[in-house]
Amino acid sequence: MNDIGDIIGSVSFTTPAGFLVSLPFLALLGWQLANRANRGTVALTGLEYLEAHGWFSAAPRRWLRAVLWGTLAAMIGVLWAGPVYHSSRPLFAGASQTVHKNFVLMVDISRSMTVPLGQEKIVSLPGQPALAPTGAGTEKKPKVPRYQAARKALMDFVARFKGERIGLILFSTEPILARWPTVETENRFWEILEENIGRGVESQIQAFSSLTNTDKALSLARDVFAAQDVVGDGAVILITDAEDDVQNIGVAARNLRKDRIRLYIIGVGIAQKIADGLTREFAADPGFRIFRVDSEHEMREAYRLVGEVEELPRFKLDHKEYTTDIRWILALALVVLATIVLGILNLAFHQSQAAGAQAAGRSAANAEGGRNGLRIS
Amino acid sequence: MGFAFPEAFALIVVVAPLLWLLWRGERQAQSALRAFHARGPGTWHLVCRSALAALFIAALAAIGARPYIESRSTGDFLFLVDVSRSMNARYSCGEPTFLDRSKTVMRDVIAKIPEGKFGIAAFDRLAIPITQMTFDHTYLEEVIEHGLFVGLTYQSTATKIGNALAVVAGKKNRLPEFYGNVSHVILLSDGHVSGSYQRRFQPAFEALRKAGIRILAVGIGNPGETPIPVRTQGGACTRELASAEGRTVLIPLRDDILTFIAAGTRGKYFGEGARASLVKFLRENGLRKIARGAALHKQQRRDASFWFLVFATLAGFGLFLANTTRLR
Repeated sequence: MNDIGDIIGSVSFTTPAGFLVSLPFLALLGWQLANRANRGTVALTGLEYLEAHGWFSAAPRRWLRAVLWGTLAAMIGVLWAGPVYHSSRPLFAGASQTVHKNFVLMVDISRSMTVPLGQEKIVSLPGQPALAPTGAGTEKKPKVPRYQAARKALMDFVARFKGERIGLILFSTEPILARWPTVETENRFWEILEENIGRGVESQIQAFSSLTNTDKALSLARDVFAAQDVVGDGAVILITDAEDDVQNIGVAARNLRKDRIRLYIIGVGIAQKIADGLTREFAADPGFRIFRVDSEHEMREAYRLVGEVEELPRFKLDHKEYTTDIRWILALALVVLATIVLGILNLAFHQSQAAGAQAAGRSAANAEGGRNGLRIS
Repeated sequence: MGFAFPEAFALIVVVAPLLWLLWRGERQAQSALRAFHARGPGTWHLVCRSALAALFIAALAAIGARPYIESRSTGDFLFLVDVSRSMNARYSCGEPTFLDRSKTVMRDVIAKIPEGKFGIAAFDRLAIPITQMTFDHTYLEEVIEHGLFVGLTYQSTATKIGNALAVVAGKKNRLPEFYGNVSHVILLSDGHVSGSYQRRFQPAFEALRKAGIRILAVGIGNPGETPIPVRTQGGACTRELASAEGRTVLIPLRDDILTFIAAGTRGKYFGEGARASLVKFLRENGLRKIARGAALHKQQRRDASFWFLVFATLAGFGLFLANTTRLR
């Protein structure tokens, strides 16, 4: 039963003006009905007699005939209007999904993101991130910079949600809308993310890399969702290492939540107490989560958790919507309908037959009427 | 042309019984008319109605067969759009801005090269490919409408065309799987750059030539200088004009710079009004044949039921008319 329910949907029209094509047909039909109703027929008197003998059916037949032609005309109008069927499951293989999960991924490209994971910056002057190891410092393996680890995890996340609508914002002092949300995410935004940041790197986003302004970036994300009319089915995944900024995220984050856009923050190297504080602040809000990460493994885990949360029934799309172009199906139905209608019109509702029958009826009625004192003129 | 569901043509089989029905109806009508010594419309009427009915059914069956057209040629084109502050220039709030005019050019080119694969990169101080290379023209329309605005990146007051050209060349070299087929880049700009540019652009020209990219520069602007009306925080246009150091900022159309860029990359300069020439140039020089048997993207397939629908409608209307002139 569920399966049937899934494919029951609604119909809309891509070009409603196409219905205008029916107008000449209907006008012609109306003209026929209005002006040519008596063509080929004979005026009769003695209605009681005719009613009793079943000859009084010309008018209903004319209307039925008009309905049949009218149906054909209306169907032609429907074909022109571009009928599209909306359902929560694909009706045919060619159906396209039109409602998606909406994500905006936000990556901090400020200079502090060039610091290797697990190390803290002790100087916060722009462009001079001096490093101090947070661990014992005995690990031999060189640590991956925060940006690169974030990029890799982000690309894995994009691959996990293939087919959903995903956008990308890079931000430092100002945000850049680097990719308007798209469902074509096979490239995982590599055209943009291939550029690196870090010491000695000569890329344009390295030149852009400066301080961090999370609120402004969140506002841009909100604008992007608003432009797409997304309310309730969107999520922002923000990756940043600016703990001061995270601590103070305010109006923009609350505005996002007001629009029921979920917000996940992956805080790289931020203090546990800040993560705990924000978790407490948004404790009653299931659409807000903060993850503190210090290693590549934790980064991947955070993305995995976000992915799993987003796949929970609670945050799954209320409904997926598929649209199917049904013009071709209706055209096939119209072939069958047209055959039946033309058949009926030519065998049962023929004007000539009606004329002949009525004229024949007149002869018969006159013969009978002579006996009953009636006369048909 | 091809058909996605050719089995639908089996429905044409109904034409035979339909013609029989028409013939039988005609015979009955004729016999009824003969009873009153009336004259029927003649054989031509039956032939005409039969032909119209057959055409009606055949055209509908063809629509049911899902006809499509696959272009046998394609081309990869990248729009490089200036989104610096000068692109907000216009004489008054009632006029489109330079950026709005750029968008019109882009829409026109995309619409007139439906088989093309397009991408959009926006630039001011930075150059960012804000879309992937795609056949999805609906998506491109959405981006042009909503995702392309002045202030897309920080410090939109600076226009670094040289950087943008170098970024495009670099992307093609580093990412041939995405940009390998891009041979023409359509630069939309007012050309408003400061300082001497001839020597500054040379490295970018060199990189573009090596990458096999030609710049087709489209000059967006007015013959004179154009002011920039100031916008409010909410984006509303005001009568106030942007100024710097107490003087109104006026934007000229630097077609000399744009022509220089086009010539330096063996490309061509087009005025904003020469959109038809731009499309013609792209069609003649930018499209390449698709090898037979090569897999095509689903977006390269376009619905072709329109003309069948026209035939069906005309045939249906003919049947209607024939019905009204049944007797005389």
